[in-house]
Amino acid sequence: MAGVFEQLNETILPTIFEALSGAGIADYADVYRETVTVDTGGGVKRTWAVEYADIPVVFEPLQVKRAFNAADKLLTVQQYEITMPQTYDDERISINPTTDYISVQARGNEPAKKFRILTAGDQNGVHWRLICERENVE
Amino acid sequence: MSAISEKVRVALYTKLNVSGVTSLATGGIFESKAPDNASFPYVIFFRIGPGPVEYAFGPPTKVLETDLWLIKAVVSEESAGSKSPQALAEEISQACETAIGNTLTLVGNTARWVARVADMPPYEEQQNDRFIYHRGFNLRVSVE
Repeated sequence: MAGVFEQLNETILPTIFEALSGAGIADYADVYRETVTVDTGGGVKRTWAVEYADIPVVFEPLQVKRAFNAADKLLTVQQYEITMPQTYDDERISINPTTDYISVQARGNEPAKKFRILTAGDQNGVHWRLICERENVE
Repeated sequence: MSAISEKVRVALYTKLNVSGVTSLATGGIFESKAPDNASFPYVIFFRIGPGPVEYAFGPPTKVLETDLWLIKAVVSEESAGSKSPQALAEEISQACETAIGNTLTLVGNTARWVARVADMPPYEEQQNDRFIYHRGFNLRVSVE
């Protein structure tokens, strides 16, 4: 079984995702990862840069949306599940929910979309099922 | 809010809504709550400690109303620029204090005392995958 998963992970799924993206059924996304710098007073500054680029993904909304008071204003969040291959372009994609976020690339009339990662579900070492949130968007 | 505190609210906003503050707090200046689409960082201010009104003898004649106000910077870890959110929040807080100074212009009343009392206790608020930093100070305003 391990051999099947390995084939799915490293060969089959990347090919499928690429084909889906090429057919316009899946999107492309970039995985951003943070770098932390500490200033002379112990203040922490986070900056982000692309760690993995042009990864084919699919995303769908979940039945969870909520509004609450945060930072002295009203915040609404919508949860999504993002599916993406764990291996793409012969590179294993690692995901750390505390340091990474997903940016689905703009296409046509659709702008780029930022997805904040809550959890990273590992589906048999074959693909990622990421539970994410988007804030204050239509 | 009393009629006087309403005048103070307007006067404080006028003092805060200047380029020295808004060039740092690019999201804007708001009383109590920011609008949903406000971008970080922004300034929130509101009255936190209504004080007892002081009266003169004889028929009670209102002579002084003193209130405590909170002015704070709300800064996200993702706020643009090279400064840490703590440093940026402190810079905005300082700019607010400088902008207010020690005077307020009120119509029909006189501000006798306008000065910072103390810093507010700083705190961080988690918002999904990041922290929001709140830094500011308390301002005592006495109006005749």
